[in-house]
Amino acid sequence: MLPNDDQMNEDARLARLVGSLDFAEDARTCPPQVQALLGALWRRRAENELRTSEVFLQLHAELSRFPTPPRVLQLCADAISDEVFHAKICARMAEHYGCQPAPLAAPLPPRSPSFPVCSPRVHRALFAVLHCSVSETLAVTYLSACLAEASSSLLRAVLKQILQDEVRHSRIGWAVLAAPELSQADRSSIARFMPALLDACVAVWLADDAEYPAEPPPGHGFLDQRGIATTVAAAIDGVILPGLEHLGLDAEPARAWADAWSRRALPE
Amino acid sequence: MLAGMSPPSGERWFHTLVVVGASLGGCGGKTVADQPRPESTATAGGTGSSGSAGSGGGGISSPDMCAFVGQFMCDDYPTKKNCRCDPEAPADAGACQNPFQYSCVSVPCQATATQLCLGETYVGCHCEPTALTPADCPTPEQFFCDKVSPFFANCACQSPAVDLTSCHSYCCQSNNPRFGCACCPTMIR
Repeated sequence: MLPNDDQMNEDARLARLVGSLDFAEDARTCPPQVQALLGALWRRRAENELRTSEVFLQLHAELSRFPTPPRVLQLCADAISDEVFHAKICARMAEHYGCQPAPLAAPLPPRSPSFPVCSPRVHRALFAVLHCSVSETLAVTYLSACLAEASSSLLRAVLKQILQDEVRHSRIGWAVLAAPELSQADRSSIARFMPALLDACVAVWLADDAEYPAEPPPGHGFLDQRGIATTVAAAIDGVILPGLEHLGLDAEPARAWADAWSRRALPE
Repeated sequence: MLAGMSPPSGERWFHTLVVVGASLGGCGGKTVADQPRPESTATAGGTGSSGSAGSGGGGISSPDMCAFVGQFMCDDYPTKKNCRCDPEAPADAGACQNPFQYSCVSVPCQATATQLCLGETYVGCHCEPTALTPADCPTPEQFFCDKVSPFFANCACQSPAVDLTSCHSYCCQSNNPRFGCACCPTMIR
């Protein structure tokens, strides 16, 4: 993990990180099939990170029309290149596990989320809450669990680097929710949307995926489905619900959704 | 929601995501300490988890009004905007999962006419879950921090590793646990 230098572009950050890592360790000790699987999983991570960069590009455009403090807007601008940087790290990890170097295809710009609200201010806040307060917070607890699972210092260094950036990205959403320009009516409206936002994000995180292994190789920083669901629950229970309450939003609609989801996804 | 399970700790992320994030947005949020609590008066020198101190909803002006100085939190320290005591904040490094996570904000000492200033004051303390530890480096000797007291700051792995066997003598930032080792500079006598 290295300091995030705002003056440094993602290639320079990548070169600096890669220079500090020991790529000689661990990959060659895996059987070839496991290496191929891990390479494919890191490649997927790279593609997802690149898509996320596109979302931050859209979010930055929206937040520039929201009463966003300059330092929060700067965080959002940094996130665009952070995610490209992550994509390159992940692609490098895929090569480490034997994947042939290949350029990452530029993703199709994802469609901006659309919420049936009249107020542009609330619409922009909901976009930030969806992508940062919810999705990036889920990413934080997920990567934290991956980090705890990873056994090599190479993996731990890479995951920590990504995790450190995702922490800043999550804060963007909480900063937006704390904006004094949001009225009580705005906050009530956002609170009512929380179940839908949680539903959309959690569905993506826990989507059935035939290409994802039921039991990822242990020690390589990937979680099985139950492990992912557990990190989702930890994010909701430990951060999102208390975060809403902390900022004076009614957390009950989100809590009711979370209780029902938890009973389905994590039966005792 | 998760009764009966042993979930990974989401709570440990609450401060670093929500509280820090909300402070960027210009709002300190509705913290526990903001709630008027008759039993929670501003005190100094409390102990452990009982060390609660409240603002009574009106904000406080000095770290001395918190049970522990490190529990003094503001949205903006130079202007002391929206300051309060956060009894959940770690009182010392022992409250974090490892001492490298303990992080605070340094503010210049501001003494009144009857007080003596002794350097900086460390406030706004929290546990930083992403903090590097010596175990994150290829070897712990490669782990160096710009600051080691009263908390660790700007720690990073330095590459390449120094071959300590080539040193005439070497020194470490810490010997227990051992980290931050390099050849000692040659002394010109």
